[in-house]
Amino acid sequence: MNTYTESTQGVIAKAQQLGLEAEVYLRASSSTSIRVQDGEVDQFSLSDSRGAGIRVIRDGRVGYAYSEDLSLEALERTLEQAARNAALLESAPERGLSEFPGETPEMAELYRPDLAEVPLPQKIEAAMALERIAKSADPRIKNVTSTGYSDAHGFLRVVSTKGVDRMYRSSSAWVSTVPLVTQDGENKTYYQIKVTRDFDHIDPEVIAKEAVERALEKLGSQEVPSGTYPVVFDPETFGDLISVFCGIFSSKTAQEGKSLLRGKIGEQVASKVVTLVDDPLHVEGWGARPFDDEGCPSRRVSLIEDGVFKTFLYNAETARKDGVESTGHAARGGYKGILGVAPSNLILVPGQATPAELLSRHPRMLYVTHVTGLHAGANAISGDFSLQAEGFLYENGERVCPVHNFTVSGNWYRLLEAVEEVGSDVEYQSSAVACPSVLVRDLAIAGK
Amino acid sequence: MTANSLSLAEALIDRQLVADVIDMAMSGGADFAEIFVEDRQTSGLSFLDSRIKNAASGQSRGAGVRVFYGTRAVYAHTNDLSRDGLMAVAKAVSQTRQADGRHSRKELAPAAPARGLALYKSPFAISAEQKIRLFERADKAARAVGSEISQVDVSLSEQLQHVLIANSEGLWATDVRPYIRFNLSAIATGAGEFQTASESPGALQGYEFIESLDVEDLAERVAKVAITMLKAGYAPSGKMPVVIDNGFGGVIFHEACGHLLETTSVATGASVLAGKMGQQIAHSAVTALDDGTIEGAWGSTAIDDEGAPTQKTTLIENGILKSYMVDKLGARKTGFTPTGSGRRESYRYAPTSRMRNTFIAPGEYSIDELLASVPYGLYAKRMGGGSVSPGTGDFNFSVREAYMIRDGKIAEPVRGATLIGNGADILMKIDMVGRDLALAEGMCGSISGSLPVTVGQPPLRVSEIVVGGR
Repeated sequence: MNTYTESTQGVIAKAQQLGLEAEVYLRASSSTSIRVQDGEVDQFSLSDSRGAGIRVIRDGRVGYAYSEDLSLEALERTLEQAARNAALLESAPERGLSEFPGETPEMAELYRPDLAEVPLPQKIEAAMALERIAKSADPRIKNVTSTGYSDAHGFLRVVSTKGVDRMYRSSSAWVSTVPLVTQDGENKTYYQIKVTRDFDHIDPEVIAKEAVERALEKLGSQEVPSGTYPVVFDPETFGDLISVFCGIFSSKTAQEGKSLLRGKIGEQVASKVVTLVDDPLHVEGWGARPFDDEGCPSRRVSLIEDGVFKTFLYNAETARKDGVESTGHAARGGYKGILGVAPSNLILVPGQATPAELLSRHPRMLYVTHVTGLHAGANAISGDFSLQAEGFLYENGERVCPVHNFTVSGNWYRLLEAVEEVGSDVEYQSSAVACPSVLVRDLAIAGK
Repeated sequence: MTANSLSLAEALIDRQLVADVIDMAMSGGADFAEIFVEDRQTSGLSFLDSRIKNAASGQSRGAGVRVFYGTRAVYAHTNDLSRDGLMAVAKAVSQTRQADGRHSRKELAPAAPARGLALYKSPFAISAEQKIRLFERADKAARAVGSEISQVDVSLSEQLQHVLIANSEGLWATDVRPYIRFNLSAIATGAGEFQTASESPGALQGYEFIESLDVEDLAERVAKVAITMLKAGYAPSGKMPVVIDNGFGGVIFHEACGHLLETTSVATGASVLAGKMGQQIAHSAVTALDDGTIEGAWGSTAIDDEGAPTQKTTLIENGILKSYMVDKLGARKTGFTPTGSGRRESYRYAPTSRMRNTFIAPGEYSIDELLASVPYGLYAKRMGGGSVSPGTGDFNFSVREAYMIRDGKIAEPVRGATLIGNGADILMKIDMVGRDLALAEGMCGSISGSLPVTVGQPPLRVSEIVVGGR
């Protein structure tokens, strides 16, 4: 894969001639996506894309521009465009590029060149097997949709007039399937997705059967009476909540007056059982990376220790504004994006209890295994959430029945304080959050 | 708008190359091939802390090639528009499958540009100073509403998309689509809490749309909602009747029914509304349309992303299912006629059936009559987004601004909550439809990416729905 050394170095040289501080953020990726339906390849897609975002800083003003044409000529036009955009801002002393000296870790595990060498028929067969096994797993299967295999590989390169020139490659593969099961007119689905870096870890038998089992166990769902319940969130669901609300740990959000954690460093902001870290060096996580989106080397950061808030996450600009060092959490969200702050791999440090133990702590509890509508039902600024949920009712540690058509509501800041216990069952789901099951006391449930 | 910029997508690629790409794409026995070429300029300006926060702009350019082998589709895209780059993509799609027989291509027959030379003010030609003055007015108006307003975000995003779509049936269609959207959100702070509110009007128009907005009025409305919600209690929990006001309230139909009528989910039988054509699927008070023809509306299209002219499609008439939303591949799979509904976010996505401007048609009641019919319930004045699971029809959508209804009258404000239900069930429970139709703009995400759509409805009553308060 072309890494565009000539044009990126050319445009950096041009910036230097013009007396501009500039940075090129270059991303390229190739992907293959196969969707199967009824034993045939239904959709097949190949993609090849690349683009560069240029950030220019001049007299404390910053401007951004991007291009998908990576010729030197196009990048020079993009540089000029970014410089014109910069002229629209007022000057602020914290803006500037950094040199980020020091070594970045190797992290060769992120890239598996052998993934590209897996023959196409083998990839197709992985998806076909997934559908076949899911379809025949149980007579109550009505349909299996959205079954597919995808993989992608690519690189990120950051080059600047401050001498930064860092690059890493990464690759991943994922499979998905959605069984629809039916019984007495009741339909239930389960959306299954598994992400891996290693093709050999895709076991269609295990993945299909788990998906079907998770759909079947929802059959016979009851509505639950409205009220307040102690709730155990399964790891994936609590991980989803952490992902939605992780903006409260961003120094940028805080500096913009949008995080209620502002001014609370050193204070108890969560229950004592909550310890939350961000670790970009943890290669099993999907957010693993050797450096951040402006080339700052990655390191592990503690956000909350025993409930006490320790630090916000920073990029170079927000760090300068607060008079601290960058924590290496610059994030662009792609070459079209602007510099922000985001976590890499968030890890909620596990406790001692198994999920079964958590589910027997109170006489009547809800086990929430899925929430939907996070983009609409959770407000990342106020912390309020009201989410459509699915799960199971537990009484005296025994599963009574699956439950559906209810919402779970609360406020993220209050919820952090209300965590009673953290489970021992930590694992990375198909996301960048590693999280165990979590017991929260008294959440509002709206049902029948 | 000049003729020169209108033909930009055509200028990127010559007709002979298009013909060669189509031929190459079909060389493995495909019975249909299509190329979609796109050039998109974007520009965004944002304002925070009462000053310009960010200025960003850029250009995307690429092409996607799609072939059909019967009902099976293959898609590949690239942003290398050279002859070598495009022919490599065409070759890749031709090699994915070997079918018997060869199909031939019809001669390309260039049609007039879809949109015509509609005059509009290119936002790229408006000075940044003018836009900054607009932000300052909006910011000032929002902050003037009350000292509780602690932050105001204002932004403007502009796009100009040129497309060329050609296929083996001889189609050669071009379009130019100017998109513009203004966003204002405000945060109210008090007693260690934040509440937010926002509005985001948008249009398939130029800068004249922004000039038509009363930004002070919009800013005041938004700020007032944020402050009202700061002082409001939480919504109650449980099942109750809900009156949903017009405009973005239409998200209920979009989620509870719209997605289930896209052939994307109908064709695989994944939709609970598959196989229901001609049947009663909603209360007889409900008539619903998906209309791409509304001049300048955010979800309108002159042609869809498969080059077909847009349509006004009646989905449901007096509760009876009349039409699905059908794209080309969906038509092959289901046998229904395409409705000009093939849409995609960009060249990176194969098109699929999607909504445009989707709304419930006006009925006979005033908002007061709707409220008066409810002894105790929720008045959902302003909605947020939502989502649906097509296989089960279970949907959710969030209320941003709400009030209790007591004895048929609007009572105290309550903070937003999510409303949840099942599409098939809730369509039967929309039992009173008001007169005053309004549309509102949103972005809709699905397998062919994120697209501008509008949702809409008159005020209406749902006889019973779960309100997810506390």
